[in-house]
Amino acid sequence: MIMFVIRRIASMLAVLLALTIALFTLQELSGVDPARAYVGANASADALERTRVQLGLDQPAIVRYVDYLGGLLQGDLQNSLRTRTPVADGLSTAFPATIELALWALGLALVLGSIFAVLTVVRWKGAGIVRVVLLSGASAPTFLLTMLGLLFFYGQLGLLPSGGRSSFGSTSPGPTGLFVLDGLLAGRVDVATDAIWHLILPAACVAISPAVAIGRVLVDGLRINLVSDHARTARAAGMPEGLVMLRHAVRNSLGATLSMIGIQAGLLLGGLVVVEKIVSWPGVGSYLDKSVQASDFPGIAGVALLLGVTYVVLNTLVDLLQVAADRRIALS
Amino acid sequence: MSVIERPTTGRAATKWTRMTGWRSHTAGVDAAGLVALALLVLVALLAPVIAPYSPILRAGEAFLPPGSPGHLLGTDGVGYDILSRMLFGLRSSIASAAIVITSGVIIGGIVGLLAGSIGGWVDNGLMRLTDLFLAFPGIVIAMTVAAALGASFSSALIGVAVVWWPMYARLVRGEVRSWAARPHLEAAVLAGVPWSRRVRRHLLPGVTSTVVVTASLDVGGLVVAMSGLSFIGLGSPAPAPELGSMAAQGMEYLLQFWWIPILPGLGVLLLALVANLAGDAVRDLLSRR
Repeated sequence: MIMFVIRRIASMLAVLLALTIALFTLQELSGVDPARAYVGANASADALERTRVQLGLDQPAIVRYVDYLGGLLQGDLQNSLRTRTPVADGLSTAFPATIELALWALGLALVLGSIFAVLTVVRWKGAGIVRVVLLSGASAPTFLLTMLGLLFFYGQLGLLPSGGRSSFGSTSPGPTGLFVLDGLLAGRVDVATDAIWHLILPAACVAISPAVAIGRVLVDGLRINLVSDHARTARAAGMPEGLVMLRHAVRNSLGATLSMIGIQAGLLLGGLVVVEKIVSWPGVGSYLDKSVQASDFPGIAGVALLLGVTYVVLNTLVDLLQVAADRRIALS
Repeated sequence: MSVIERPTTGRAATKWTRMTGWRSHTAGVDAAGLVALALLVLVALLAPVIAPYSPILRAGEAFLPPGSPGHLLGTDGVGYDILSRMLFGLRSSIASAAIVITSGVIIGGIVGLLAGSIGGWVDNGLMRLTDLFLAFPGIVIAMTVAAALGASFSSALIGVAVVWWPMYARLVRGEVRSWAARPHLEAAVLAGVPWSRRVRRHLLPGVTSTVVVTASLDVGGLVVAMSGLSFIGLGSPAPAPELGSMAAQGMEYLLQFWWIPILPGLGVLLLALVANLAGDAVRDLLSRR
């Protein structure tokens, strides 16, 4: 058990190291000159050269990589070519917005996926329609869903806001940077509900395709377990069907579902970037979009690093959670 | 909860699964999917011939709604003909999906075949590399690679191709290993059949159908993923007709002139749905054998 945890964390660190090597190599390939980011486009060749020496850019690649890695460990993600300020600063203000959206999207995906799975398994009559809606939603590009949602719920009904995170300014009223949570903590129910109205549409659009994937895995698990020997024995012993579902079917399907959630969390990132651009969500996706428009590679690499690290750490946690739920995994 | 059917025998369980299956396919749906895909491919190939206007030249007044005379799907904010641009966009979507899938199958196939058939440290090394790629969110890596190479059609292709092979590598390795453990291959090893011949005559034909099925089921998702990349500006630069970037450029007109951003999005949806249907058809055809 302890060996498994150690091995899992070591492999996580190796993967993260590989990520930094990949990003460093890509930066070299992209031909971006970090010294430019410090001195600006109009600086003299002399000043540029001085900055280059100052930043150690005249050193061989391996030395620069070690510098880069050292910087990363201290939270230095280099300077953006677009804003000429540290990428880390820009991302630290954008990250809470993305976290909030991602958590809501993941939560919605879980709820939708489970509802969908249970309806399918108990063969509720309307499940067919739900299935068609969700499946075609999952085939649609996220940008189409979001725009159709905006067109209908904002343009036609005027029910949801057109975009942004909050009608109460861009700073959260609390310490976490998550509007709903901070709003509730500060006793500002109006801020929290307003934030929820802003969250619903983008979160739902991102959630649909993970919801279908999670629902599928859950359906498979439930089906197999509901006809399994132990479920049959439980029924024979007089256990009510609801309890069989809960204790024997749902519980045993959680493992596979959990790893699917880990995978989907990664796929969700692509959707987030697109949705944030459309509803002007001030998160990492919008930051990435602006960096792409400005060909600002340090900005893009910063986003990739942040999302990559989040994803890898998250999946390690999922693995560890799975072992906690089922010790047999650690042995295999 | 009494509505849950309690199948008591194996046969009932299979029937039950079949009845509530995710997709209940008939030969008709399969055929329709394949025909629709063939039609879309044909339209894409013939785009230069059937498009009424050039996709990158002003064709008329801006903001004409769909159904306007001479402009079946209307015009966009510049005055480009939307139908013509969508036809070319479809062409580039299909072409890029074909290129990425092909490269993924070739690279992943070679890696998986080597790993599965040689085994030992080759297997170990190659699979570690594959796992490394699978440990990251693919779309983020694709974006970063495409951005590092500078926004263009080929950068986007390279970016996605870099993350699209590991799944095939893992799949092929698994298949190859299961084939290699079968008696006729053990017999071949004992009879001294050389590695290259075993791969060519026994292993490759064995994995082909699984790979073809997986690849054809992948096309829909790939088309959507690449349109997302193009949407955030990681595709061909501005006037080039791509469905994703058309939607992104039309976004500002969403509320007044909905067709400008929505139609290209519907184009992606249509292609993805048809590709999914055709993928299912291929799976049904190959697994029925």
